[in-house]
Amino acid sequence: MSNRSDIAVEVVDLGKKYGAVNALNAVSFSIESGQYYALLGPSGGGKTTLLRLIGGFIQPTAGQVFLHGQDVSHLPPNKRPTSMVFQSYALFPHMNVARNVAYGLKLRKVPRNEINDKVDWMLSMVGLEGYNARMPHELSGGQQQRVQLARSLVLDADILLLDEPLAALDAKLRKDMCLELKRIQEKVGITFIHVTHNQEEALTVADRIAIIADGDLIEQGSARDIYETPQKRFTAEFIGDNNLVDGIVAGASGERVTVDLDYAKVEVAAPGATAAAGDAVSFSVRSELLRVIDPAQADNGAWQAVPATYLETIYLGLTTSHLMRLPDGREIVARVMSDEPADTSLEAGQPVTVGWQTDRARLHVS
Amino acid sequence: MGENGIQKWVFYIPVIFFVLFFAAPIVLTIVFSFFERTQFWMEPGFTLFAYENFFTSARAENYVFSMLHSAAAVVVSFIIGFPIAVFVRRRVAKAAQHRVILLFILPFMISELVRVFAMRPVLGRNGVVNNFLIDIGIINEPITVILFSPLGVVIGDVMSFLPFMIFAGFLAMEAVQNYVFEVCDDLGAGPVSLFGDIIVPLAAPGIFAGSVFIFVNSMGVALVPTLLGGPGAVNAGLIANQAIVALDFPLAMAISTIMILTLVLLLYIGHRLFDLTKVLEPIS
Amino acid sequence: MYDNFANPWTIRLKWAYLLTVVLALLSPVMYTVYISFNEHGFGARIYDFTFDWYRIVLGDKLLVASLEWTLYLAVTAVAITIPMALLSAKFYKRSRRKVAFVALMLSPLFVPADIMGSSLLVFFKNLAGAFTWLGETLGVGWFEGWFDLGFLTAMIGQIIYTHPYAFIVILITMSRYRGQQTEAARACGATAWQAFWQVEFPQIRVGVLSSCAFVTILSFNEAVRTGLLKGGFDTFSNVLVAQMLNIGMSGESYAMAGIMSIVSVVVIGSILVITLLRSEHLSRKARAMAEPMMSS
Repeated sequence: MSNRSDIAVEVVDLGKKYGAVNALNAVSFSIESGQYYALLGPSGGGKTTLLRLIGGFIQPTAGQVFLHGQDVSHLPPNKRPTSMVFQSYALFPHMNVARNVAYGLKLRKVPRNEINDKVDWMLSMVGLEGYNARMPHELSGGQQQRVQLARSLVLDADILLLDEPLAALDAKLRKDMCLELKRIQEKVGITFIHVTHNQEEALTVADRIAIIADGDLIEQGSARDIYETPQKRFTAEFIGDNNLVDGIVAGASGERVTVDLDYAKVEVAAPGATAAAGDAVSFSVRSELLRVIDPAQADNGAWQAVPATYLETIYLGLTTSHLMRLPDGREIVARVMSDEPADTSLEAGQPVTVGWQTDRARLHVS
Repeated sequence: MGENGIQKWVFYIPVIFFVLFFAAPIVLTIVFSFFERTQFWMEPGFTLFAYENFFTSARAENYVFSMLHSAAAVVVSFIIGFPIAVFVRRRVAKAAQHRVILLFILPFMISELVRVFAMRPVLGRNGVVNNFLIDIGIINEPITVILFSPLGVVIGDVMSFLPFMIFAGFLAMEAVQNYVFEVCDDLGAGPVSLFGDIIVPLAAPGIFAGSVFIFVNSMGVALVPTLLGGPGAVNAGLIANQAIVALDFPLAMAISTIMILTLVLLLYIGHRLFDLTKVLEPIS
Repeated sequence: MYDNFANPWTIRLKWAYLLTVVLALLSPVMYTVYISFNEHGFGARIYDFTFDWYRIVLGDKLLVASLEWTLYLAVTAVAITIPMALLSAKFYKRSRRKVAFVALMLSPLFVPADIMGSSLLVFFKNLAGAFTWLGETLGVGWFEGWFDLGFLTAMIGQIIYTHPYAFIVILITMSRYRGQQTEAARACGATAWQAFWQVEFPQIRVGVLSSCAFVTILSFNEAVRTGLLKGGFDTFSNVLVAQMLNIGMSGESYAMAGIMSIVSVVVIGSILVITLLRSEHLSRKARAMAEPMMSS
């Protein structure tokens, strides 16, 4: 609890109930100042509730919110050093761009000429110089969200909350806006907390990602960790294109465990994981790391292999997926770059061997 | 749609009916106002006599006076009624909002005749209000200024038409998105800024529609000054009514014309200022 | 519910204010009804409960006849206005000139009773004169009596008055109906009428029923337009107006006002209760269905 100065947000056992429904269970985590932090998860999982609790739009039923070390759990939004960008194009429809951006400053009784300077500066920051006199309905969705961003940033709040800010934009625009958000965040250097259900969006913008589902914080980590080495089974299922395989621990030796799949035994790296013989576990391998291999390749211990039945090939443009079925009926996918030389002799129903490099599989005990 | 001619024309029945029995009578009202008065009826012609009669008598003065007390009724209705519309929109659970607004249908649907009349035993010299105030000792003598007086007329108008301000205000507030309030909370807008900068501008079309309704009805419903006004209390509706009773039909038509032009002018100004078509958004 | 930092006592205070306004709007009428049950009428210091005033009203042949006229008018008004309002709402949905159409259909709301009544009165008198002249010119007797003041002209006045209310209520109900359902029904082979009657109407039935109630009550309560346009007969409210203006209020008048209020409250009140119970039922159902995936 010392040196909280570089912790922008700290949430302790924060919970919210609606009647008998738990929207958020006791969640705890902290966010460093100046980070771009994403709350990622399926819709209805509680991530928006969490963001609104941090912003003060709803009151918690349990726990506390500290912003820069100060307990703000029961302060209204305007008494918190936060500012919010809303999902819908939440501009005041009867005010032009400049008046929208200026409104918060006007409420703070900032002198007129200073307001004008700040508004112009902030509009150029979000790439909308010269749009001052436009009305919201004359702007595209992306432009409206930029104005919202300017309206929040102009107040010099040091924590910006973004509630699915790009959800209403089309895919191409969303990609551009992601990069734009990242660029702006780096420029202003304040903490951004960004809620989204879109993993690509989260991976693009965020320094760190927290996975939120069923009202719980499942796990958090850097974007790369979350994608490459998810700890929890849920994360592996949710992020990327992972193949999940279930089995029973047959034995452990050092940093590896042997998992019995009934039809095969494989070794899985388990750094620090506590799995004892007899435990039901699962492991995941990303589809781009699975290969149809020659059975002999697995013999040296660097590769693990399981038998499978080939099902079909699905061409997806950049990549091509090979769909196969394991003996227990589970379908798995091996994905390769489409321009890689491919074995065209594979036919539906043909027995194949599927393999992966041993250290590429991650064990999940929960 | 694959409809034959008859099916298609069935849908025009309401339009035809309203053109024939609403638009035509209104337009002809203007024409008839220039007709010559005869002893019991009128005959075609062009004379400004009815207008002369209107503007050179006490009627014009009464007309302006009834505009003033109608404006007062609008202001009072706004002050009492509009906050209710805002409150229901902001603080009542979404699913219950319509039900709360429906509470105001009940008084609105009781005969206006009865509601206006019922103010007499309430406001009268030995009515409920005076008896109550005397009983608790606030006054010694009955207050007489609240009935058979201009004040009585304004009270009657407010009691009659207040629900309309709540309906129109709520309809307008319903079109205001929730995020608007949240943004304002976030930016720290106090109640005064929120009301003046955000709510009133956004609800302006509805407020205006409600205001015009109350204004023209306060001017045009003769019942209120007849039952609650003092001697000589009139409004536009009562002047027209008296002209009909006196069989001065061109005069009645001239007053109706002035009333209709007042209304059209108000609606035109409102439309230029607020784009009244926005009021229709929830139903389109 | 909009959950924020508002003081719960402020909210309670505002609720109290809202209910006070409803009560203030209703209380004069309630007081009138209360007086109508007093044997000694208004102003008396003693209160003896009695039905006598009502007995006198309902025993008066003229008053009962006027009630019958009122009933005829109300039934006819509903029978004509509601189908017309349905047609108008359908027309609105497909119309490309919505604003002009709505302006025409809703304008009567903004023309006060006495002005509308006077305009229609002079219009009908001229129309009747024109038809008489036409008949004389053509030498035929057909047009004799067309648009003479009477039931028909009073009826037209009432339709013009009640239609905007029915139109709005039906339009609001219809706005929740999605047009693709009609298209789906047509795609299944239904005629336009079948699609309306079997698919759309069941979904807007509540709105149609409430507008029936509104039109009944508006027609029942209407006095001014009917008074100007009715010609030879009197409705219940016409008699009451005449009494108020000419005789002043007697115990009988209080009972008549009582009858009018009670009819309105019973009809509108029961419609409100039905609507509220129904929407409560629907929202409970919706909540039950949404429960597992609540929050966010």
